Order: sequence, then C-alpha cells, then structure tokens
Amino acid sequence: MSQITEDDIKSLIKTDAEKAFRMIIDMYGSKLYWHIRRIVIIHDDADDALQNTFISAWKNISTFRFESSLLTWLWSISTNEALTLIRKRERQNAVSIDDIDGIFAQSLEGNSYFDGDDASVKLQNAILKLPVKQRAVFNMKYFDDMSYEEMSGVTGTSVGALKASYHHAVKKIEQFLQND
Amino acid sequence: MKLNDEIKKGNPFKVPEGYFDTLTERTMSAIRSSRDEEDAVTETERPVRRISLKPYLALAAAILGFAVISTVMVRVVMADRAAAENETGNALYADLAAEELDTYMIEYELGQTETVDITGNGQAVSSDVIIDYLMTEDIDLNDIYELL
Repeated sequence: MSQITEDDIKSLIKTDAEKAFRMIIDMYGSKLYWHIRRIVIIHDDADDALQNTFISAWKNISTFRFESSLLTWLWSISTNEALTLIRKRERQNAVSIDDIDGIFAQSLEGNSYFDGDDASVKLQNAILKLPVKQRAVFNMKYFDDMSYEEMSGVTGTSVGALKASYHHAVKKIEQFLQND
Repeated sequence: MKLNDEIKKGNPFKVPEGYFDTLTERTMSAIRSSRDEEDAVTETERPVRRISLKPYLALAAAILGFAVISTVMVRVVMADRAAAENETGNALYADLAAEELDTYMIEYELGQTETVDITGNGQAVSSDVIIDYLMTEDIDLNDIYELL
C-alpha cells in the first residue's frame, strides 16, 4: 500500500471527513502525543491535551486552507492545548508555574510511565526549570529536530527570537546540570 | 556538562500498554461526543427562537424599548456636552482599554528604540525580535516596558 500524503487527506476531507480524520490521527497521533507529553510530563494530561487537539482540529478543519503543512497546523494547536492545560492546572492548584514544575519534577521521579536513567531524569528536571514557552521551544528543537522556520510557523514567534530562546535554554540547562 | 555530549536524546517516557493501538478509536469517539453535545445545544436553542410574543407583550416591550433608547440618547448627548467642555486633550486614548494602552505605550517606546548590536558580530537585532524573545521567557509586558 502506498504512503498516504497530505494531498490525499486534502482531497478526502471534502468527501469523507471522518475517514480523512482517522488517517490524520493514524499519521500524526503519536508524534503529537510525544510533543505534548514533553511539555506537560504527566501521561493523563498529555492524553487530555491530545484529545482536545484533535477535537479542536475537527471543528476548524473547514477553515484550514492547506497553505502550511497539516502537521505544522496540528503542532500549533497541540502546543496551545498543552500550554492551556498547564495554566489550568496552575489555576486549579492555586500555585505558581514554578511550584507546578516542582510538583511535575516529583511526579517524574515517582512516575510509573517514566523509565529514563539518572541522566534523563536530570535533563527533564532541568527542562522543567525553563519558563513554559521556552520549554516548548527547547523540546521542538532538541527532541523533534524542527527547523527554526517550522517552529516559527507553529509558535508565531520570529526565527531570531527562537534562536535566542533556544540558545539561552541550552545555557540554562547546562548550568543546571553542572550545579546539580 | 555539555548537553549533546553527555546525554542521549532518547525518550524516557512510557505510555500504558496498547495506548497507541486504541488512540484513533478513542479520539474519534471523543470527537463524536463533542459533536453530539454541540448538536444537542443547537436543538434546545431552536424552540426558543420560534416563540412569538403575544401582542400586548410586544406593545409593552416596544414602549419599554422606546423609553430605554430615549434615556440613553439623552445621557449620551449630555455626556458629549460635558466632555466637550472638560476635555483637555486625551481624546487619542479615550477609547483604549487599560491593557491596550499599555501595549500601545510599549510599542511606542520600541518605535523610539534603534536597532542594536547585541551579538557583538555586527548583526543588528530589531526590537521585534527582542520583544518576541522576552515574551518566550514569560516576561510580563509591563516588566518589558520597565526594562526599556
């Protein structure tokens, strides 16, 4: 069976939206899950944000003109959903983002869905020290190997600012690992 | 410790067994539920639109509406007169909410700032790039203004 492309989905979405959407989830579901998971850390939260991402995409697919890639569009929605969920958790727990990160860091070490070695735990703890938007920027570049141009399409932030943000994130993480 | 030298980029997170096998079905089910909820809301709204007012209620509503509009118009005219007498030059900002005004002021200040060479290699960095960067660092707009 030949590889399904975004052009196939673009044609199918007009005739059989549900089938097209199944294809979209099959193609990008796991990729988006890992992107969200690295931001929100906890599996259940990542699952919630992923469901919300696809529900939002379903509602708005008719307005998407396929001028950018479908993955970039979904990436953008999933980043927003992940950041929204973190802010929601912050409000629910009536604590600041920094405290939330402390809670995440604790859950990371005792998390049954985390099996990294010591170095991975240290790295994730260091990433959690970053401001939440910078965390998303770092993850997209470091783990997902996205180009700055793609990241700019996802975040709406200029390429220059993203380069500076990533550069400073790396410095902060290295400093944290040095002192830890 | 250097990031790329010492730590592998491996994925330390795990998911429950079979999570991705059922992802498509669960997601489509969530989408259908969300769609059904929206349809149900739309259905319950329809009868409300069909209800027509009885004639005497329509008359009462018309009289009340006329009274409200008259009162509002009188107040607007009076307020305009008072404003014309007391206005001392703040008309430019009159329609701006406090937050919009803050953003306007920051943009104005940035407009006054020339591009600067902060990289040390002769590359000028525009104020747009600086403000974007500061915002990814979660710095409040008011703090950015203070830093200018």
